[in-house]
Amino acid sequence: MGIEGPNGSDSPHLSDGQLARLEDGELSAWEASHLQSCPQCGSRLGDARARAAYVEYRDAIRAPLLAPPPKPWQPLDALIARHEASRPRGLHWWSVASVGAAACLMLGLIVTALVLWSPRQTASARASRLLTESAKLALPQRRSISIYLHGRTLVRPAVLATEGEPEGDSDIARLQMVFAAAHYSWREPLSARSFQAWRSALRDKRDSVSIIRAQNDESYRVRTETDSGVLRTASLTLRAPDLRPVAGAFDFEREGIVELAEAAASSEHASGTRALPRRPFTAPSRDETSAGPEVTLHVLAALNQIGADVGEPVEISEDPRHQHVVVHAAGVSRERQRQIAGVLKAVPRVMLEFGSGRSTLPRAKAMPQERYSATIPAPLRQQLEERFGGPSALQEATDRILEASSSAVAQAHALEILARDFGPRIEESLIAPDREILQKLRDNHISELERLISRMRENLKPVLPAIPNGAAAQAANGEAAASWQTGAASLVALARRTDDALNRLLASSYSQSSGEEMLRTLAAQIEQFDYAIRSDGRAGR
Amino acid sequence: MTVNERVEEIYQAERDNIYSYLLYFSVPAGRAQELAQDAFLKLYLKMSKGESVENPRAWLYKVAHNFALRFHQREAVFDDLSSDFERADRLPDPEHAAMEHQRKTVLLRAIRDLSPRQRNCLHLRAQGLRYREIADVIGISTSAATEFLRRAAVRLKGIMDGY
Repeated sequence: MGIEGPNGSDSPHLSDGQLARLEDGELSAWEASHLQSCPQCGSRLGDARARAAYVEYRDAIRAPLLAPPPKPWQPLDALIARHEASRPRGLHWWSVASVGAAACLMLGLIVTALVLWSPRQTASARASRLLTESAKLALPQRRSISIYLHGRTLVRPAVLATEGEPEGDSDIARLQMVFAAAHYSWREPLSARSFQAWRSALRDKRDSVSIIRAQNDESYRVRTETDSGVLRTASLTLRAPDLRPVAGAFDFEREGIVELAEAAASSEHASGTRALPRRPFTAPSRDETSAGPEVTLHVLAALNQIGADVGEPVEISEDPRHQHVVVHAAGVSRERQRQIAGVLKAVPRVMLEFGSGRSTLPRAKAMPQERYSATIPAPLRQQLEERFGGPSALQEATDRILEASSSAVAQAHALEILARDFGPRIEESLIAPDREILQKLRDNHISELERLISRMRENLKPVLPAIPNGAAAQAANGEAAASWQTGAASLVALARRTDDALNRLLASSYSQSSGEEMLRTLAAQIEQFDYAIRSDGRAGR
Repeated sequence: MTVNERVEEIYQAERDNIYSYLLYFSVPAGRAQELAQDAFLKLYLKMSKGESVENPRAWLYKVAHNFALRFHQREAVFDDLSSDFERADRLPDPEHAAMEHQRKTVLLRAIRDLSPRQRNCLHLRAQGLRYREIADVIGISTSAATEFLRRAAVRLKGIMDGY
């Protein structure tokens, strides 16, 4: 008699149905006998039983402890629309249907629809629509605006009683004249109506609309450039939920950039303009100097506080004008974005970019890549299990070893970046407190590497052969690195080599003799890695 | 069926599972929900570009797995029972007979005694993923996934026999 196959066809193995019947004691003697002698069916039965046990655990024990989703699920179309709205560039034809559908679903979010309704809508049309809608908004009467000008912050009512009343402050008086020359309303500068009036009168103009995301806020920035008149570029930032104008920037010919922003709510304000204490001007001014390595150093130190300088998709570069350090984090969670923004808040001249794309820089392995398998030769596996204290102890030790090794690669890579950005000359040029910061960062990496190598050694102790004292130093020919910077590069190589060796030992197929040889080689490599870490640590002191 | 409709269907069917999967990694509920939604958005974007996804469910688990790892920066422990275990162990269970309660306790202990990786593999297996899909989600070799599951089955069998 043939055994019923899973699909009703003949098969040398028991079907799923037959395996299920085993639980009810309904297998025939022949089937039961087959199960005893067939490892494949035995394995399938074990798998099915384990699954059943787990499902029971999951559904009856674990599921009641899990928190329900805190909010209603967003419709998929809304997710797509939100994603599209966050894209700073133009529309793609394929996105239109989704955006349109989302707009229908999200009736309240008219703003999104305004920006992204039609594929043919040009930037100018979008700008016009946004400004027109914004102009309809009733703004509070007692609204104030701040004006950032020549390093000063001045506050005035958002809407002046009259257009032409001369201002007492000389800077403001001059600004008033410049606005008048540009045919831009000085009476109500932070307004979509005024922006639209100026823009409409231009003979030639280039518009763009971008979507700005900062923390939890979204806003639209309408920007218009022209070659005519004294006002060459103006932009107005509209808050996403209601299109309220909250900021503006005006680049006047021969005058520089004037920034306006809605001032924090105040109970009253003077009818005229009043000056506030000086504050740093956040927009790049033309006489700014290069950001310099110390800014990068402070950024790294800040990121180090939250461990974001090791094994994370965070890139640090300078903007094309070398005035800001750009911290680009692609694909990090919003929570992580908030943490990164939080620690960098105190560092001046930093621009944050949170993209969703893949990082282009080579990165160390950030996550443990567990790759061990059942292909270790049986005698060696038995030997390892005996020395570790059983199969589960071997498994747990292997987990810890591979994780420590993976972290060591990431840590060594972070040290390498530090060494690359702060070579001996740059290090020397830093002021004493910054040199201390650099040293602390370097020491942190070294200490962490020491901890990780010690963890690896400890976990591998039951199986690694003893290495004679001084063997590693001998292997390194007793040569110490000229500086910690030069030593950092070789540390990365050693970390990777050790990681490869560990993964080879625990993941590849090999013979018993090769396995024993690998263990010996691994011991020497770990010894060498350990020696190099200590040597690099000494070189920096 | 359009891409949108197809993803919508998967979204309706799987979002709670993906959300739960993230909770198992101790991702806070609010964040887990955001990440689960992000995973489906990624699926939509991928499929919209015409890229084929052999098994969208397995793919979603892989994305969720990576999200969980990123959330925890360096390592993420699957179903860390240290905090919940005591609570679960003391759950009042008046509706069940003493035997059933005892069975649950034994089962909970058996699962707790598995390694996080074994629990993770088993969870995905219970979700219907194939061995190679589990391996792909977690980032290990198929043979390693097989070995985790084999060991988990052996352990569970040893402990659960008799209940």
